[in-house]
Amino acid sequence: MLSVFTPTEIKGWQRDAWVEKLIARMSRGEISAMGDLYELIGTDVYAFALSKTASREDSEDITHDTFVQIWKNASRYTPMGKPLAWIFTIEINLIRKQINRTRKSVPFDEAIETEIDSEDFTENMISDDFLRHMLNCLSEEEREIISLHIVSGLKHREISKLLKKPLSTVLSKYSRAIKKLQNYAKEREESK
Amino acid sequence: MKKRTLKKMIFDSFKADTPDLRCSLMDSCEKEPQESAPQISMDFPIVNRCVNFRIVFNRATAVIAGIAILLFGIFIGNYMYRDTVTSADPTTETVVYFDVNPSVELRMDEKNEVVECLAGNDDAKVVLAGLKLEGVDMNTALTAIVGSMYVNGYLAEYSNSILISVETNDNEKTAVLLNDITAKINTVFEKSDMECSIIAQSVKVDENLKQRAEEKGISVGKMHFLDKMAKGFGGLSEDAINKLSELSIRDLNLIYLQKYDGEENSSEDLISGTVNVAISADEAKNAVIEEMGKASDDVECYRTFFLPSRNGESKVVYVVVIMFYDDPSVYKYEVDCQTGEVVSMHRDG
Repeated sequence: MLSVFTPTEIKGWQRDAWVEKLIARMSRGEISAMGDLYELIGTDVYAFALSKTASREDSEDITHDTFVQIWKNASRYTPMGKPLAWIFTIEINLIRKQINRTRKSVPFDEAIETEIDSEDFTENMISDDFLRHMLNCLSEEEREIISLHIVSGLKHREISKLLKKPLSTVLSKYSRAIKKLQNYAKEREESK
Repeated sequence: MKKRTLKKMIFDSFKADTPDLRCSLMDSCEKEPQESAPQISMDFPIVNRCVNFRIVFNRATAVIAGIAILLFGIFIGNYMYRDTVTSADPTTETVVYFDVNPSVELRMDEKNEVVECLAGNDDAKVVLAGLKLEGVDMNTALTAIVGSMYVNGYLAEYSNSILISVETNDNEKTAVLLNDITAKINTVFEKSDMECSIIAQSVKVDENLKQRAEEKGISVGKMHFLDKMAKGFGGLSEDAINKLSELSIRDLNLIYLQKYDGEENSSEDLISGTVNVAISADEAKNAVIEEMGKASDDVECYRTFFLPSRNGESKVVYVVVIMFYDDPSVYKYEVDCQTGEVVSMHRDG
């Protein structure tokens, strides 16, 4: 598999180098590289989708479609040392299409009702308490920043560029999200 | 709850919830045709920014003689100075840590005169032998230390990186000092036609940093730099940090500079100068091609970067990751930065 460094050990620019290597293999038609790539960054892609949609089912579909798009367009990727930015851009486009599709298919009244009840709609989807609370208590912006920074290791400056938001917004939302989660974690500890 | 614990909890939660889509993805990929693309070169950018090769010394010998005279003068002058001046004990206002691999600690008072000069390791004792720097002004002390490191072979063509760490209670003073020290050292090197790479950083020393530095047998300045490297690379294991702590500042510099290749340097450090390497990244790649009995035209894509050697030696090597046309395997080679010798190989796929 991934020779000297295993996926769990490598981080940062080393991981970027391996992702690019795997994309290069995929561009040559090597399907086996897909498995390796999923092992390396599957959680990153899934976490971002989940942070945007808060729906396990939708996130699985988006994750699947993102990797298929990577496969289809592997030969179009120009190595620049930042493959995750390319991958997340693909994913953001797919999420937008998914959201538009959902909006068109769901009647307006039902959409409003879903929004009002959004606090509980993940109840039956996510089994992990902490993850469920995170998806419920954080705003979409806060969730996506948390997932990009903590799961994927992107710097705040990179997140600001990817999401097209001011750096100060990214920093303040991240800080607020962390505080909320720290408070929740503390309450959880105290209630045990 | 500590932030690190919280971050781990967040990461673990997402990871545990991630479905395994590998099988369905493989099935889908088999059915989906790939988009054909214009033939774009798959050469990876060579990661060797700020690297200079084979500096030739023209006037070094003359400068060495000049510095040796200066050192002698300081030794004698300071001896006479200490006989005639009486003063109360000055308070340490600033501490400057020099790391090349000798580690020297300079403690200075509010007038930037040396109060105490300490050797952080055995190599530093060699550097400071015969030097009496107490009571000397900062610029003179700097020149003496740099000169002594040069004369004793610790600063040389392929060992030309210095880490300067400044600790004060005044942030403004720190910034000014970092600039002044860097400028002074650059001036010393300019006269010798020798290139030098300087990393200048501010440091706040607490008990935790001191203890960790002591455990690893390095200066607090170097420990602080390693912490920043670990943070910059998204976190490193304790084993990785231990391995890095054994490297010289030149080797750490080569690894660290890769982070900023092609992007804005967002670090608060002052990084200046060029790091010398005997073998270029291109030469390392060519050594690998030759080792494999291939030609340059056979190379589909490659990438080079610096990493600590995995052969138990405390030095960096080039890691060349390379793929060839008509060969699905990915090859990974280690190449010695000084000799260009191919050290080891691993094949993936």
